[in-house]
Amino acid sequence: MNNYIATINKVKKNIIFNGSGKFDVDGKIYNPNFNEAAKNCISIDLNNKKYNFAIERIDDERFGFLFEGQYFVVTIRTKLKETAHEVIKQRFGSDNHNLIKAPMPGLLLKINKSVGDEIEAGESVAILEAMKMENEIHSPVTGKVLEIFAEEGTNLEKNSKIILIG
Amino acid sequence: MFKKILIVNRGEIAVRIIRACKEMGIISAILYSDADKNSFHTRMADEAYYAGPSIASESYLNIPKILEIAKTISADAIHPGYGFLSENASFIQQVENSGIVFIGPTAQSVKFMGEKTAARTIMQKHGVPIVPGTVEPLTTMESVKKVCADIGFPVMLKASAGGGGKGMRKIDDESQIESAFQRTKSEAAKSFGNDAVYIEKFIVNPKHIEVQILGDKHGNYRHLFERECSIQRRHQKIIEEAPSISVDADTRKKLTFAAVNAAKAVDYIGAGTIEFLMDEEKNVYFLEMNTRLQVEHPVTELITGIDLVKEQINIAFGKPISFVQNDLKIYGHAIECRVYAEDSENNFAPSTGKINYFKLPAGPGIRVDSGIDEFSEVSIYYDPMLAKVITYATNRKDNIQRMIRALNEFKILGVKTNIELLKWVLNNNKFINGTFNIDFIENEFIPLLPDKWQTEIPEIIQDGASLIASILKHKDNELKTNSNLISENNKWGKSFYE
Repeated sequence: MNNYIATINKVKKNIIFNGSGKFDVDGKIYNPNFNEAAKNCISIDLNNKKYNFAIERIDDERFGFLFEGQYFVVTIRTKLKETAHEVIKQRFGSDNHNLIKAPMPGLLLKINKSVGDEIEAGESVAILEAMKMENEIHSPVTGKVLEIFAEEGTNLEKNSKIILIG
Repeated sequence: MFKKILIVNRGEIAVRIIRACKEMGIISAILYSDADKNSFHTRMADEAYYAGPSIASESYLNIPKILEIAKTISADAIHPGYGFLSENASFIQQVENSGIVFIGPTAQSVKFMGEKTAARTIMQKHGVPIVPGTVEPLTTMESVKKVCADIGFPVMLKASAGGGGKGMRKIDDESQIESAFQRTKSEAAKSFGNDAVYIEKFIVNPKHIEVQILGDKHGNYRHLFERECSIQRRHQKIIEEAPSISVDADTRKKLTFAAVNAAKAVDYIGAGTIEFLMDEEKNVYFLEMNTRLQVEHPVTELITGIDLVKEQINIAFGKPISFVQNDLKIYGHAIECRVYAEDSENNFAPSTGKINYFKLPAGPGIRVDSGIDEFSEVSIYYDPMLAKVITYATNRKDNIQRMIRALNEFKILGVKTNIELLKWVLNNNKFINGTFNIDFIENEFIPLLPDKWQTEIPEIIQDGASLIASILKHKDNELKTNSNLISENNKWGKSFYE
């Protein structure tokens, strides 16, 4: 028996299957048909209805799904790994930590905070210049600035670390 | 006809012009920067020439280099597209001087329309309605009161020497005149050393309506009706329509008459657009003229059947406009949605990356003008517009449904896009019934951020995605342990992911 936990927008789903073709999602039984229509394009039949997804692999345990213009991320772990992850999260409170990275390459014009500053969710953290526009980067969480990794006036690659909030 | 046209642009508009050239048997030559070495437009043109580094000032805006290439390759004409050098009077002048035909208006017309206050005066002289107000500076309270009474509240009180939003005050009724006058005066004196003020009518909840015009070298002028362009973010249009749901026959007559007069006033040659503000009583006011092809030109092409790029090329060659005004009618309804690589929830910040999945919508009534394809990379150097989806149907109601269907079919991965926002607008009641204005995104969408605007992902979709993810993850784990739990007979065990 295989047991996986999928997380979509913080909602968890428990998936069980054993190779018989039947799948259990939170107690609902599906008998799905999977089809690879093209590269990065998988369709699934559920209850005689077809759903087409475009899919990208983000990392080892995350996939991006696009369905009719709506994009969302599915985090998928084995039940065992998910449990381990929960334990770690509880012990270190890693969910309250937020590492803000550069969403695009660009010139870091300004960092609005210093280490130790309080910051509100939605507050501007830094200004990154890209595509001739100044783009504000906002904090997704409320907390305290723990560490600053980047310097004002430097060029950043996409995904380079800027600031850690906890 | 021209033998070879050099296109001084990139992205979807370069592709649009290349397509017109191919249909007309003209050789299309293109410039490319380092970042565009392998871009869609570079691959599509008949000839491609290296212009310089990725930064636009050293390639697409590098006038000496562009002129040198144009001469070396014996281009007969230059098409500037939109943006970049398209409204640069000095560039146009240099092209004219070099003996190469510029596909667009003369440097002189562009200069006239580029100086916005001068344009206001010329327009007024030629019977084009401008935002009502004073041109003479006012110094006494009495004169301010009188003008307010004449044009009606609300008004904007502005410093004559002001600009950039400084020294400006909105007056809603008579009781506010005195303090507004004193404060604006003293602010103006402090900021600009000149306390003169003037008054302009404040246009309440305006729509952005524009009229497409053509002028040729034989003194003919035509209009191609209006476009509705009120759905904007960051002062940039994202959805355009033709015709406008708010423009009735009388208003259309007024708008198109004013637009043709505006074109005549500056001896305009080629395709141009007169932009207007329209208030809730359907009064229209001249805003400015765009002396070039517009991004949203396809909606006009679809409702009139006129190919604007071909008209531009023919006009530049010296041919008269291909149709007479009375032959032109509005057929059906067209919508354009601009698909941008950007984050709608984060101040519309541009998104960059390598496209790793790309599928365009198709089927009845759908046109896509795209600047990218599945091999593209969206870089930081240029405008993040990826493609324009344009739909056509016999009426607006059906067309909105068609556009939603088209956007559902548009699949792109690798960058964030605004497709979900576009769908949100198309489903919004104010959009559907036409009661929106230029502040629509600001007033309706922004307040719903960050989490009150998205539609819930249906349970069945979440389940389906979770099942696929679990299978993909399971396959990963299998590869790692090299076991063979999934038998050959199970179709879901098949390798369907790279």
